[in-house]
Amino acid sequence: MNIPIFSAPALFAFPGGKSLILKASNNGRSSGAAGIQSLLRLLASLPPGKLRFTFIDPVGLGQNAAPFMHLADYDEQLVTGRAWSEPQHIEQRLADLTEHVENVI
Amino acid sequence: MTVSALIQQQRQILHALHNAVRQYQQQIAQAQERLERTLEQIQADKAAAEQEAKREYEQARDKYITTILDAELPMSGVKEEHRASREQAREKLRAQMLSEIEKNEHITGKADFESSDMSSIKEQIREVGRISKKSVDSESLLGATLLAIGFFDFCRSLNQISLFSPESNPMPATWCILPIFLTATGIYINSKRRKAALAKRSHCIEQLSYSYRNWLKLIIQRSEMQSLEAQQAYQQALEQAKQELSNNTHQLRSNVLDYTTLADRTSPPWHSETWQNWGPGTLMPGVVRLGVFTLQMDQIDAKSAII
Repeated sequence: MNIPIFSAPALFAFPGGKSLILKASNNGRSSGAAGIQSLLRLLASLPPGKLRFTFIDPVGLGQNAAPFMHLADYDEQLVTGRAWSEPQHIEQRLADLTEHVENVI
Repeated sequence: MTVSALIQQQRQILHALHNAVRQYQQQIAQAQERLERTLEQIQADKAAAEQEAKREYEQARDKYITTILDAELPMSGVKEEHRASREQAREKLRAQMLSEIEKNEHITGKADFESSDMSSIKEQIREVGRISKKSVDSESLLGATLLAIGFFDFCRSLNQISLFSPESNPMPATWCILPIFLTATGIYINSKRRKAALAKRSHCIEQLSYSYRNWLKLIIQRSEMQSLEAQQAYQQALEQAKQELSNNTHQLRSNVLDYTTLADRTSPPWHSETWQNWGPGTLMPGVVRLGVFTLQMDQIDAKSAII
């Protein structure tokens, strides 16, 4: 077993005005999907009512976001109904988000 | 410490780590380049040395064959009408000697000398090429002289026998014995000398072939030794680079410990006992823990995040 020569927590400023993108391919894809589950941290840290998710998962057909779908049991708006995978649905969700950002700004 | 200061500290640590890894990778790349250059040079030197050995060997071989041919079948003094047949005889002997040498090239024999010095071997090969015509001549002057005198006396004796009657020549047999003896001695000496010359020629050919093979063997040995030394130097460079990377990451350790303590307080790991007393937050955290940056030696070019 390889012992890491360096190990430190990976922190991300939130809300910090920056976006996060995780790039992964082939074998790394499962790690990338696991990274999405770190969104649980956001749920655990942010005050209630301050967070809503829009899951777009055309490759995994919603499977990667499945653990978060239970949030819909409390309020569908927490996950915007479900994970979206169809092109027309994805376009609609992006349009909704753009409209929301315009309203907020 | 504020959240922005924590993020700043993370950035500094990762920057230092990035520089250490980059330095390590540069050192490895330089060591690899040095190794490749050295190995190429070794191969080029080996090829040049083999060429030189072949050239020296072929020159010495050709000179030696020419010396033998000039001693056995000289062209000087040959009448014009016999020149073509002499040329053919020379070519035949040349082919025969080349064949003999070629056979020796594949035989593992022993030499009179055993040298690990290429210049000595080169000198030994040149020595064969410099061999004199006189030393390879299979004709003995003494033998030839005796043969000539004997033959001359024999002819004279025959002449005398035919001139005198048995009465006036009481001992014709005595006149015959001496020339026959002289002729036989001449033939014997010449035969012995020829055998010795052939044995010496064979020995010279063996020595030449052996020296050439020995030279090639030494070239290969030297090349292998140089390659081994280059590989060892490369391994040393690798070890040194690893040690430097280890030292650089070790220097970060105190910073990383401070940073980890603060990060764990702000955003504790999942196995922390803090979660036992978890309650819904009331303030925005400012920072979210995504996972752990880890760096392993075998994945030095990739920082893998373990969630």
